[in-house]
Amino acid sequence: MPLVFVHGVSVRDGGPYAENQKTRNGLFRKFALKKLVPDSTKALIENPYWGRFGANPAWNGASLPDGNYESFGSQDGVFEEILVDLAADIQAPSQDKVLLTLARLSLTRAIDCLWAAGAFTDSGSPAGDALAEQAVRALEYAAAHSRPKWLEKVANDDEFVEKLLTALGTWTPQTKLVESFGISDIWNHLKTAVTHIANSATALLTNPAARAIRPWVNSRVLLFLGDIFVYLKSRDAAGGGPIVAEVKGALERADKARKADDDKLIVVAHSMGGNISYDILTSFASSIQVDLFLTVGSQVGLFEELKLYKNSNTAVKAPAHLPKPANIRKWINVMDLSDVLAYATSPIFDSSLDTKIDNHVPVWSAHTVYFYRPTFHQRLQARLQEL
Amino acid sequence: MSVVFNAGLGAASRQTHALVIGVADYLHLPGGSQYAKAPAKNTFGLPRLDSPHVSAVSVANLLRTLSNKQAPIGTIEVVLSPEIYADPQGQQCAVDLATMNNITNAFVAWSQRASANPDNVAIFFFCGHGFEKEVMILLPADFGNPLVANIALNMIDFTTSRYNNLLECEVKTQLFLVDACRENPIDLMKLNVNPTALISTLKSRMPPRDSPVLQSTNSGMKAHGAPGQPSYFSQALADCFQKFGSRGQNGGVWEVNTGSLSTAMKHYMLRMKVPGVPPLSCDATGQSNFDSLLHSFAGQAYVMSLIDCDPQAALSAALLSVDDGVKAPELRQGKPDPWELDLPAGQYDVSATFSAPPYHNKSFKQLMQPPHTPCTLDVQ
Repeated sequence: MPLVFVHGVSVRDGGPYAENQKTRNGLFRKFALKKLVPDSTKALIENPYWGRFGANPAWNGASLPDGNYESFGSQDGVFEEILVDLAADIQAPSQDKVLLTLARLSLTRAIDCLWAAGAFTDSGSPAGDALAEQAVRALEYAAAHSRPKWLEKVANDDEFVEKLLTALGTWTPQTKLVESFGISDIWNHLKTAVTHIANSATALLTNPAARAIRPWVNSRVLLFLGDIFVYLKSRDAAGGGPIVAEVKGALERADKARKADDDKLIVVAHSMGGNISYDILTSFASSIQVDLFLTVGSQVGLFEELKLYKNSNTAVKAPAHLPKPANIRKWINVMDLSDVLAYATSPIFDSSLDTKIDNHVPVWSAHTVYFYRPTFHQRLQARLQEL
Repeated sequence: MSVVFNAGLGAASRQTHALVIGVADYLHLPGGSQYAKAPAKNTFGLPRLDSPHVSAVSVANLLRTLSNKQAPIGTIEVVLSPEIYADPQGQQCAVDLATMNNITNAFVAWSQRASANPDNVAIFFFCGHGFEKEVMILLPADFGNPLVANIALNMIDFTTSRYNNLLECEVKTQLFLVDACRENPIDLMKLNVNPTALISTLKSRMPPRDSPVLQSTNSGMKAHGAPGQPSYFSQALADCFQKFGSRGQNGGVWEVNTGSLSTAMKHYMLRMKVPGVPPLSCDATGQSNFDSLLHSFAGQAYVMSLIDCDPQAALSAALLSVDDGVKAPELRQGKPDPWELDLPAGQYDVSATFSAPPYHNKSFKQLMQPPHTPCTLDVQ
């Protein structure tokens, strides 16, 4: 079952991009594709990287309020984002007790937070595959032990991770063929992630106002708007321009990879990736049949309201509905209520299904880390059973 | 005291003394024999191992076979976890458990035995968990003992131990073989206490030394073994002592010395290909002002040869041939990589032939000498 993942705004190569992709692919294989194909490890996953054609501010963001953003597309502030996204509603007594506090409320939330941080951590060793592998074990463990006894005895996040990873058996060799005379990469990776969490938690704990708006928000907005403008401008070039070519090429390759006994095509599109995918599937590649179109934290509905798509018909307005595109068999639109960049589709499109996630975290950004949260993939897996 | 081999040579007579340590059962780590009742508070993500015990036993038994007229094998002390040793005939006996205390005692005893004659050879081998921060750290079986509040008391500072032993021990030839990982995990970075040296010194001057350190991996990397099998480093040691590690002949026998063993180990481990394991390597460092004889053997020595073309692009079109004039020649048909070939030491006709331009046929005689002989054919 080929799967095409179309990334959202602000994604740029470098930093942990490659490992992010590996982790995300691994999570798709371990959860969503696991029960749909005989061997999910062999399923084709296309990751068109259109960010290379995205916004590239000529003054490097000097127009931003404090003009201090030199590393666009880097992961600066991502750990703060993760904390704001997944732990802003808790009151941790100190910076080294964020995960512990979260775990005592909900072990799965702590796992989501730890794994999301792990996806953006560079520990010097590749851990993407192992993160995905262990995510399955972690959620199974949390389902069986929602409040393990050891949780009451641990004193801080470091001990929490130590106990959790020991309980998950991460110390056991990945293969029985070879043992290494040292640490397991996943262990060191998640222990490093805990350090990042603690460092980022300091800022949030010492300045509660910082939870509402952080410096990285400005730079994200710049790239968000920039990527939209660049896409809309480049789309008018012959053939749809480089972004269309990049994503369309991936869709065509995935389409060709269908087999007689494995004939379904899934498109998962995040944020601006959803808008681009919808535009391509309705104007540039309308012959490609998509069995599931999953838009996550996306603005497809908003773009249609603004009539920004190539085939948008300005005559169609409320109270009328647009039909779901004929080449999309099923469309699920996932939106986190905390994500101010996530818009509904069902009020505009017939037969699109809005699915809401509510973290009860009334903040700006629940936008970056959907695809690195094991629980997201677990829910996706449940949805895909209906295919 | 776990001396499993004693040739009974007089204490002052010139000989080789070996200390072999293998730690597989890490008592307080997951999977360890005492983990259920006395788990380590901080495990550093380390589990019990399997291969280091097998590796240490195989190395101890390999050392029993050393033939060195200058310094014949005198004693071999073995410290293991689990604490069972089996000799080459399969006879088992209990030895000291490889705890910090027992390793410390064994190290000092080995150092003192070796000191009895400056022309002795002292060989140290360790296989087990390791780290590397500012210094190389080796972990004994009781690492993480929850009754020891300072975890670093059960962490061996190998770098300082070796350096101090060079000063404290009179023996001029000290060979250190370390088969352990050399990573610096985040938990170690956060640890604010220092590991413990096995020996101290107040001396400051060191005479000329031959003291190589051969490590089973590069800094920052992992060492590996297959469960139930000797580690890749131990396997390499056996093959280099017995086949590839000679520096040449002396009086009709092949001699392995500290320099040729180091060269052989580096080439041998680079050539080892293990599925699922990153490329292997042997890191050879240490202070060596001269080479010392370790072993000699009669019969056939082998050479790690590397047949290449200049330019390398010609390899894909070349029929390579290596002919000793006695047996049928070894042939290889066009492949893009240089040809790694293990050969008995000797004279060979080496050639590259091409069925079409632009490269030219080339042939010459090459003396293949252990441990490693590269042979590049200029076919331009």
